[in-house]
Amino acid sequence: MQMTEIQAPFSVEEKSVITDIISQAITGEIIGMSNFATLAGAIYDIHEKMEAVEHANCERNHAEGFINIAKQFDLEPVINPDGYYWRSVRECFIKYADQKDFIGCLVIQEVMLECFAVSMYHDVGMALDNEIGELFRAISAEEEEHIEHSIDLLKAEMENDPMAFTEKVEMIHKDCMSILAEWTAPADLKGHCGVCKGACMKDSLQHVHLDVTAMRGRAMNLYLRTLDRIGLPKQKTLQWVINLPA
Amino acid sequence: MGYQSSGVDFAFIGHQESWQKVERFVAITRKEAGLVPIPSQQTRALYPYLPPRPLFEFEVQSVQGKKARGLYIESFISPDELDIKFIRSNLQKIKDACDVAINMGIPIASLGGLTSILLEANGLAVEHCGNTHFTTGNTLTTAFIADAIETACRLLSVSLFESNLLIVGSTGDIGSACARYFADKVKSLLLHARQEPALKKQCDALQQKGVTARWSANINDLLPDANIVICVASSVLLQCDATLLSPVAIVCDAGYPKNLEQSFSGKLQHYLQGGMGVAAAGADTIPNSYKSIYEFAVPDVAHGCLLEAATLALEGMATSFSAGRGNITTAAIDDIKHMAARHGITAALPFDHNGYWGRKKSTVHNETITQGTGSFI
Repeated sequence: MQMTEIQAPFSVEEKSVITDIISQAITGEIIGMSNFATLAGAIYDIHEKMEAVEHANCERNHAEGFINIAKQFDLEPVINPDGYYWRSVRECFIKYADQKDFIGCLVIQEVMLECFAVSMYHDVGMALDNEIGELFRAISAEEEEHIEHSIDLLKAEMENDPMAFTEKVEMIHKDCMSILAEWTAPADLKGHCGVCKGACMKDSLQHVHLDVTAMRGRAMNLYLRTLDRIGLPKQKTLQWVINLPA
Repeated sequence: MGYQSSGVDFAFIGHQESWQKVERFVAITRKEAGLVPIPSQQTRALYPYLPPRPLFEFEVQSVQGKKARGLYIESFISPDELDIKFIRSNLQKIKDACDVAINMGIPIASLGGLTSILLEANGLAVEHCGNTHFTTGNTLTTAFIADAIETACRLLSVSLFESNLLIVGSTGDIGSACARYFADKVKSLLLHARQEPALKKQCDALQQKGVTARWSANINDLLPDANIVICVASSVLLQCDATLLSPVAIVCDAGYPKNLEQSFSGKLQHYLQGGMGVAAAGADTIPNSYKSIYEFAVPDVAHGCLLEAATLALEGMATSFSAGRGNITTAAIDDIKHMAARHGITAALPFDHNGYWGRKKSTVHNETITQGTGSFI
């Protein structure tokens, strides 16, 4: 993917789609922040508790970064954690947090959500050759560290009881990845997301040389590679992805 | 880096030639989970992004009683991106697929179809990495092409020695091996490839050895004289004037995708899919839905490159038997063919998209068309 020259002043179409992209990013970061904050309360290990707070703060900083860049470029994003998809993701996370399921929470936040964030932020960063793009690229790199943080821990879980862990991740995959798959499907499978200002931004991404199909594909690629690194059976994880809503 | 030992004796790295198979395998996978099929465009959108991974296992049995356990690794190269212009992204996918074999510590891995470019292209040689030895499998593939042509000639009472053999893609690894193999077995060689200098050099070298050979980069110059065609580069033949080729010519489709039969709109009377073999003692897949991705018009057949890896595994020879371009000698073809035959692995009898060549062809010449005892794929 090559970086394209999209610089201010933006056309009406560019402004609209960039605003929507930033809206999704801020809302996603708010959800991430809330998830890590919830996680801090759901775990007993003091070091993991402190780490969760640190990660929550990190997501807060990302959200602030996006809010500030929007101001700088005179964009007015919509921040709506109650939009259908983001609310569903949050509810999914809370379900596992309520069960004090630290590993389940980690899989949702640091594998599933972060894989999508890292990949999609990178794509946006490569599409926008300006300060907005720079910010997306920088945050993508930071989010990557969150994935790294979880890998060793989850690998140990996998080695400890492969069958039980695989079943657990499969269940979480069905719960959470189905939402992300619907959110990134070419057509809005569950109606308006509640975050985009007007019509669905997926239909306008070409104005900034992006394409939801490719973005979704690359995100799924990173997700599968991450599951591979954890040691989950490759044939099974392929099946999981093939069986997602499309 | 440590390499795990997976207990797998060999791997076969492959790719799909048609969306039809891909869509079928996605549909089967979803059906097993009680899900409806997804639209074709959704499958096509996702497929190229899937990272390489093993899809199913198979066990090839030797007539000597030994068994070799194999693993099919799909590279997820898109069926419509097999062209040279996608070489960069494809090479990365092939390397990633090789890493799967390396990380599993599989001793022999065969690079099937397009994936063999990793070993054939200059400067990209990775014959050996970790515990894994890579082979293109092109030597046994060539042996099977040659056997299938000879069988087809026998079945049709065609004299090989009186035939003009056209090799499409003659400067490639398999094409040049076929040229060397058939040089003293046919009346003349008709050589076709895209690069004129390489073609001329090849033709000159053969002529210096007393072989009757002619070359052209324009396929239409050669088609009228051909009795037998070995096509290792299907896409080139697709651009030809089909009416120039005799309808009774024997055409061996050894390229990918194997689609010459459709492109000649059924005008070819003696079309066969080349480079395929069978294991007489049987070869079974470990059942799962993914095996549907490796099915053919006839049961029990597999690519020569896969069976080369299986043969090497059965022989206990962890070696890069076929590597580089233009290195396949007639002696090497004979060697691998004999090694394979020791385990009951031989060329498949001629078959096309409808199955083995018809009863008419076989009974006329009193040769029975029955082959394979196992339930391979």
